[in-house]
Amino acid sequence: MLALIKKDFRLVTTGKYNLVFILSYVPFLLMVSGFDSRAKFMYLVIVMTFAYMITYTTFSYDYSNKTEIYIESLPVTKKDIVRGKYLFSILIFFISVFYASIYMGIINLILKIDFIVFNLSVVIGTFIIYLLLMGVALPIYYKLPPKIGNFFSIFVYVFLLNMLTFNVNDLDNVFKMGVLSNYGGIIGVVIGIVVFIFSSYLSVHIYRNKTR
Amino acid sequence: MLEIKELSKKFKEGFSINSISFNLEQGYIMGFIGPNGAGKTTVIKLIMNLLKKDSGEIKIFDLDHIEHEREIKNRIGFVYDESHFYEDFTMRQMKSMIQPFYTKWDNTTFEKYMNEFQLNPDLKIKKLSKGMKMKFSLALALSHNAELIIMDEPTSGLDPVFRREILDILYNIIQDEKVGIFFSTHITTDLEQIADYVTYINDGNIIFSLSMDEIMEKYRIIKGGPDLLDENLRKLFLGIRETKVGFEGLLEDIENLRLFGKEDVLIEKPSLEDIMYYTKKVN
Repeated sequence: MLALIKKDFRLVTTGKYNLVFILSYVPFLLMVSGFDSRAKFMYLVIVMTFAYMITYTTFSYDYSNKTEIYIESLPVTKKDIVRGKYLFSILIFFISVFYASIYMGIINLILKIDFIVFNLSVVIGTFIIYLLLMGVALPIYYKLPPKIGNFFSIFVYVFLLNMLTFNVNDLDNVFKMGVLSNYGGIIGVVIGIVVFIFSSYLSVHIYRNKTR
Repeated sequence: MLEIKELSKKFKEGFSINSISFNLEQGYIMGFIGPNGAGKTTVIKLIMNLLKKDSGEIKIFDLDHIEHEREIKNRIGFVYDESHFYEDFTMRQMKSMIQPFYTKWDNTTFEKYMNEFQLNPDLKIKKLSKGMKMKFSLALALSHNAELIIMDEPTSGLDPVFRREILDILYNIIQDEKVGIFFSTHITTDLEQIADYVTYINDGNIIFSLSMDEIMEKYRIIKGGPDLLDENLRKLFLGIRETKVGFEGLLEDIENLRLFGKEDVLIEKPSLEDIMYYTKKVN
């Protein structure tokens, strides 16, 4: 499974376009927001969108290059392939947290502004939304034809992001997501993990029965 | 080495693989022939567990191909008819991606094949011709000490020079008697040069799975004038083509040759293409 995760890391870090995306993504989003350090969601949006897009990119590469058959013929099982993707999406989330924190810290230093660099409650809240998002989006990618799957996943992404964060207006009391925010977000994380694990079983079942 | 027993798979669209069985022993090349759409790729996908079988048994190295999937695939080299690589990668990058999957990866062997095939590892895959991609695929398949090489139409779409080169490579590989090669194609002339066994599939059914010697002994092409045939003789042929000037047919049981006057007919050993043509016709 480690080889599968390494493969996905190689996919998203090889090539000029990927590197340009990785380097320009944060400044681009900040520019779109008008470098407004009061924009409370920027950290959340940067981390979540980055992790989501990177995970999506790996599916997109496999689809456009028709590599699925090749990967499945390597010494791995279908279960490994799906579990590897789920694990990759989690690893990429934490890398995104690190990446966003470093990047925004540098921007703060250079531009002398005050973006949120790291805030545990924001990270926990973002993680909950991310687990729910991937828990829904990944089975869709495995079940539906790639183009339709992509459309539905983007729909789920926009819907979840709006629904769960529309009332965020105070960073000290971030993510008022009902029961999900109880006990400092622990309930939310547990629910997120349960959804994510259930989703991985569902995706394995879907992928095993897929006919090409 | 590769043992298929009563393998079946039915698709919603109606096509099916119907209880097929055959064996490939270590140290031999088996050609897997059949017209387009006969089910060759489907069988290969079933062997590689890319498709779920409905029933039957697939054993590779005496192991169940699902229970021991990782272990089996670690010992299989595969080559498919199309490129399934990341086109923006160089061959070196692609190799680095594939290498960690195999426990017995051998870089020296890989480099040896890359040199032998005159492939520059820093070339992007999208810049390669079909023949070069096939050679690269073969270099990957041969660089982890595979004991079974499975190839799906490796020579289709290649020019005769490339095809001949690929066949020479396969011939060299098989000199190591620990390796077996299972090789699907519809270009039967390729097999006549290198195959020890041939399995013929048509419409999802096995027509035969025999050694080349057995095939050459079993079948005959009979040619003769139009007035020689009657209804009883016609029934003896597996397939027959009649014109105003005469007939040409495939006879399965050479014992029946005695029913024809030797002076009146021309008897020839058939090519695999003849066998495919006439059996397809009758089926």
